[in-house]
Amino acid sequence: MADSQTEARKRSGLAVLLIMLVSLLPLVVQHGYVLRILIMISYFAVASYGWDVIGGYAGQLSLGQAAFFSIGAYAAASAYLIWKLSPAVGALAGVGLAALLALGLGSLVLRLRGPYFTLSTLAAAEVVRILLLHFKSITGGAEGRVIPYTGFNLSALQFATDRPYYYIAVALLALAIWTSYQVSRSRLGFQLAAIRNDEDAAESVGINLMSAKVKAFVISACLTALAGAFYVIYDRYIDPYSTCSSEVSVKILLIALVGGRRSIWGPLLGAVLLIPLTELTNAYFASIRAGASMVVYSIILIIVVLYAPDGLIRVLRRRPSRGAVTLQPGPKGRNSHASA
Amino acid sequence: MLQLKGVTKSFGGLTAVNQVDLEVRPGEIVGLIGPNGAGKTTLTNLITGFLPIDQGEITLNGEPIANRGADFVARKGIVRTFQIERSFKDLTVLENVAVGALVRADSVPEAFKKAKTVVKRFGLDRQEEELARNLTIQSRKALEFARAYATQPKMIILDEVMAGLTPGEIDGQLTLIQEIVSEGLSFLIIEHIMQVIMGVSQRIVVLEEGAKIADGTPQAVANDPKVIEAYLGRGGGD
Ligand SMILES: Nc1ncnc2c1ncn2[C@@H]1O[C@H](COP(=O)(O)OP(=O)(O)OP(=O)(O)O)[C@@H](O)[C@H]1O
Ligand SMILES: [Mg+2]
Repeated sequence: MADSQTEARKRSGLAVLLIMLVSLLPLVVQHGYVLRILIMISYFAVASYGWDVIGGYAGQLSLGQAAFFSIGAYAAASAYLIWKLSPAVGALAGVGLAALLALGLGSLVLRLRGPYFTLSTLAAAEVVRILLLHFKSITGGAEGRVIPYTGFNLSALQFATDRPYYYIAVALLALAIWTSYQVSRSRLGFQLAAIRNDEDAAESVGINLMSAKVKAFVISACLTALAGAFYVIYDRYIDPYSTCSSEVSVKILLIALVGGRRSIWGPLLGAVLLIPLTELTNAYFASIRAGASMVVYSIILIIVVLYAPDGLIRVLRRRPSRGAVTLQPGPKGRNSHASA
Repeated sequence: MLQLKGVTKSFGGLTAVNQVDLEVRPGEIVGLIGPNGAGKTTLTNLITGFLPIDQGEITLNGEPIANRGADFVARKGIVRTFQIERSFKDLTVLENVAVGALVRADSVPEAFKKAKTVVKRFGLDRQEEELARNLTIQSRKALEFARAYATQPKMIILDEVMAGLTPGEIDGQLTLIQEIVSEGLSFLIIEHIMQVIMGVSQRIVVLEEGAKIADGTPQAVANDPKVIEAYLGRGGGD
C-alpha cells in the first residue's frame, strides 16, 4: 500500500498546483469574453455533475435537468426582485425546492423500470416551463425578467467585474467535483453501481432500489439547481426559454456524455470542450440560433456514441469505463428474473 | 428457522408452485430437486421476495417475510444466487463482493475489508481486480456465491451454481459449503447433478409440477417410488 501513499501525495500536489493555476487565471486572462466563457464552463459543469449523479452513477437517464436549473434560477431571481432578499438566499430556497420536486417525482416514477423515468423528466421540464410562462406576475412570463445592476453590492451578489463571479463559479465547481467524488466512494455510490449493473442482483444483496435512486435524484437536482441560481445571478436576465428548454437539458446531459460519465473530471472536460463550441456556433448561426445548436448537439452526440461511448476522459486515459457503452444500462424487465 | 406453509404461485393458468410446505433449520443443508420446470426457481423467487406469493405463508424465525420485497428478505438474512448468473459485470470481483458485504458493514472500507477475506476464502483472490464480465461463467457463479455469503446471511439459496464445474471444482465448492454450514448457516441447494446433491444434503425435497412429492433423507428419497417415477417418467434429470 506504499504505492497508494505516493499516489496520494502526487495527487494532493497536483491539486495544489491546479488551485493556484485556477486562482491566478483571471489575473492573466485580460480578455473579458474569455473570462465569461470560463465562468460559463464552470456553471454548466456544475449542472452536468448534477446530471451525472442520476444519469451516470445511477444509470437513470434524466432528460429534464432544465426543470431543476430553472427552479434554482427563478428562485434566486424572485427572491431578489420580489422579496428583496439576497439572491443567495433564493439560491438555497431553489435548491430546496428542486430537491422536493426530485423527491416527489422520483418517488413516483423511479419505481418503474424502462423509459418511464426518462419520459417523466422530459415532461417535468415541460410542465415547469408552462408554469413559468403562465405565472407572469412572478416570473415575467415569456419576456422574462432583468435584474437591474445597482453597483457593487455584496448581498445582492452584484460586482463591477467578472472576477468575483469567476471565483464563485469555481467554488461551486469545486463543490460539484467534491460531491461527485464523495458519491463515487460512498455507500450510496456502490449501491448505485450495483443498481446500474443489475437491479435484481442489487436487491438480492439487500439494496433498497427506491431509496438509493431517489437519493441520487435529489443530489442531482440540488447541484443542477445551484448552477441555475448562479446563472441568473451572473447573467442578471432570465426567461423560460433560456433556462427551461429541452436544449438546456440536452446540453447538460451532453457535457457529461462527451467528457465521460461517472468520472471526477469527465463533466468538466465535457464543458471545456462543449461550451466554447456552442458559443461559437451560437455566434455564427445567430439568426437561427435555437435550431442550430440542437443540430450541433445531435452531431456531437452521434460522434461520441460511435467513437467515444465512454467519454473523452477515458480516451485520454486509455481506460475503459465500467459499462458506459450504452446510453441507459441496466433496466431489465421485471419478469426476466423469474425465468432465470 | 425458515418455514413455508401452503405456498402457492400461479402464472396465469399454470400453477408453478402448489401448496408447498417446507422447513429449513439452522445449520441444515436441504437439497431441492425436481425435473425441469418443476418450480424450483420459482420457489426460490417466492422465498427471497422476488415474486409475491398467491397463497400460504413464509416465515423466518416466526416473522412473515412473503411479499415484503427482495431487499427486505436479504436484509433479514436470506440471500440467493441466480440460475442465470447476475454478477455486477462492470465492477471488479472485489467490488462485487464488497457490495454484498455493505449491507452489514458500517462503512465502505469495512465492507472492502470483509470482501477481501471472503474473496480469498472463495479462491477468487487472484482475480479480485478483474471485472466480473471478464470471468468465465463458472467463476461468475462462484462470485455470486461469494457475494451472497458476504452479506453474512442466515441462509443461502444456491440455484445451480455447480453446473459446468469440473469434478475437482465441485469438490472444492462442497468443502466450502460444509465449512460454511459449520458456522451455523443453512443452505437450500438446487442442483441437477444427483451424486452432488445426494452427497451434500442432509435432507432432500422433491418438487414435481409445483407440488412437493417427497421430503426426507437422501436415501429415503432415492428409494421413493414417486420420485423414481417422476424422474424416470420424464427420462431422468439432466
Ligand atoms: N415469470 C414467469 N411467468 C410465467 N411462467 C413462468 C414464470 N417463471 C416460471 N414460469 C413457469 O413456471 C414453471 C416452473 O418454472 P421454474 O423456473 O420454477 O422451474 P425449475 O424447477 O427451476 O426448472 P429448471 O430445472 O429448468 O430450472 C415452468 O413451467 C415455467 O415455464
Ligand atoms: Mg430453475
